[in-house]
Amino acid sequence: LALTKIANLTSVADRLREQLANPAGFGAVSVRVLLRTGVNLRSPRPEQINDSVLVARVRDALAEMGYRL
Amino acid sequence: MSKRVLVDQQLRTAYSALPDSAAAVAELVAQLGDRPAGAVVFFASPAQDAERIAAELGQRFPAVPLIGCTTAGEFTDRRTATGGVSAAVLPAGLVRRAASALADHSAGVEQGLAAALAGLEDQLGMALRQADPQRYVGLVLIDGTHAADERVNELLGNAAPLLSFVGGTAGDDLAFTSTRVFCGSSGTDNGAALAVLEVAAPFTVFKTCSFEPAGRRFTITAADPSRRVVWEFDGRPAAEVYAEAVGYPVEQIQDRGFMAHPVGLVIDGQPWIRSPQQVIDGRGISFYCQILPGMEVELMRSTDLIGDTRAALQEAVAELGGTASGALMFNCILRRLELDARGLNQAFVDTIADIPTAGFHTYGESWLGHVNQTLTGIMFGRST
Repeated sequence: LALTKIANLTSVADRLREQLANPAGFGAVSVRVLLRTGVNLRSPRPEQINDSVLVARVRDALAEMGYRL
Repeated sequence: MSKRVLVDQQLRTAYSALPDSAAAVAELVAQLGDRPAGAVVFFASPAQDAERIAAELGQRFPAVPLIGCTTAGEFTDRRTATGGVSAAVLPAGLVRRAASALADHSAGVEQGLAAALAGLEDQLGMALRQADPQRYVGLVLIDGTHAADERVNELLGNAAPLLSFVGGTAGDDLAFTSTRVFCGSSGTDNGAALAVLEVAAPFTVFKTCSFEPAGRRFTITAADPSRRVVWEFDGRPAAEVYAEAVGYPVEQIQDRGFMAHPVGLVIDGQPWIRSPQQVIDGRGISFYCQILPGMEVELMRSTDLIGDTRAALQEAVAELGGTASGALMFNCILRRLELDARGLNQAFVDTIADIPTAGFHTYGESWLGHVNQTLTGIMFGRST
């Protein structure tokens, strides 16, 4: 399945929350994403939010963990 | 009238400083007692015959998952030292069931981890991804001379992103030549030992480090992650930028700056520390963790190692309702060196208070990823 278009990191975080059955899991996954990409999904830096390269990098990291957004 | 049955959930921990490994393991066995075990861990100085210790503990606790590794120092709730062995029995009343596996990385980290994870899933009869993170926890011990820590943690996270694997990287008393990890009586100097426990009591995984942001951020603009080298901060030579920030000449930052001023990736106010190791070619800085181009890190400054550790452990106990049945802890070698330099080894042990604990001083700490200059651990409570 092709990945749907997600424009920014805020949307990535929202989609991830939707996929996680346990809301507490967002914290663990956020740390894993931070250590792999440098992006804090809870509070991305303003210049990162719409960076398409970073959005793709974060989505790749999440896909490796089984979260295809 | 109902009668309350007290379940034995308290960890039994042991330490031996005897230089002869046959005598050391005999002393460990005597201290560990004969209660039914759910899992066993040991942490042995490279001066010890770790193969023999693994084999003899395996004979003493047959059919019980056992993992261990070599160290850069070992500790319990009673002492910290080098040259000896620490160990713990997690009683059957605490660990309902457990699985263990050795990942052999000689054909690649991916292949070795995949086989080990499949082995864990076979033993447990379930996919790790389905393991309830409130009931299951993983332990991971990684060899310390192949720089596979990041990849191992990533692969564990890919297999089970919500499951905590907590642990550390094996050491060899700062020789940096050969470290070993064990599962049962099998060992390797290129791999990882894994265990997954189903825990019958509440537990909490924790980490603590003694740093706070120093008010300066760097963006990595050039790096070689495979060598863990950062070449540029903010478009300039990393060593030069770092030296300006800490206030020492480049020639002095390694000796005067690195220990007290690592950098951190910060989330929710919590730093995930990356520790500088050495200046490379007068301009780059190698780290004990990978840092990728584009990442923004904060310069940190050291705080109160003893006070912060005590507070973190007290917080963990409070999370468990005020009672702990034991803990396993993984403490960075750089923290141990600070304890050594400041004469704080006993103070460190005292922070653990009377919580039965076994641990070791590591070449890296694991939880959700690979970190430096940190204490990671798992603390177990009691079922009510």
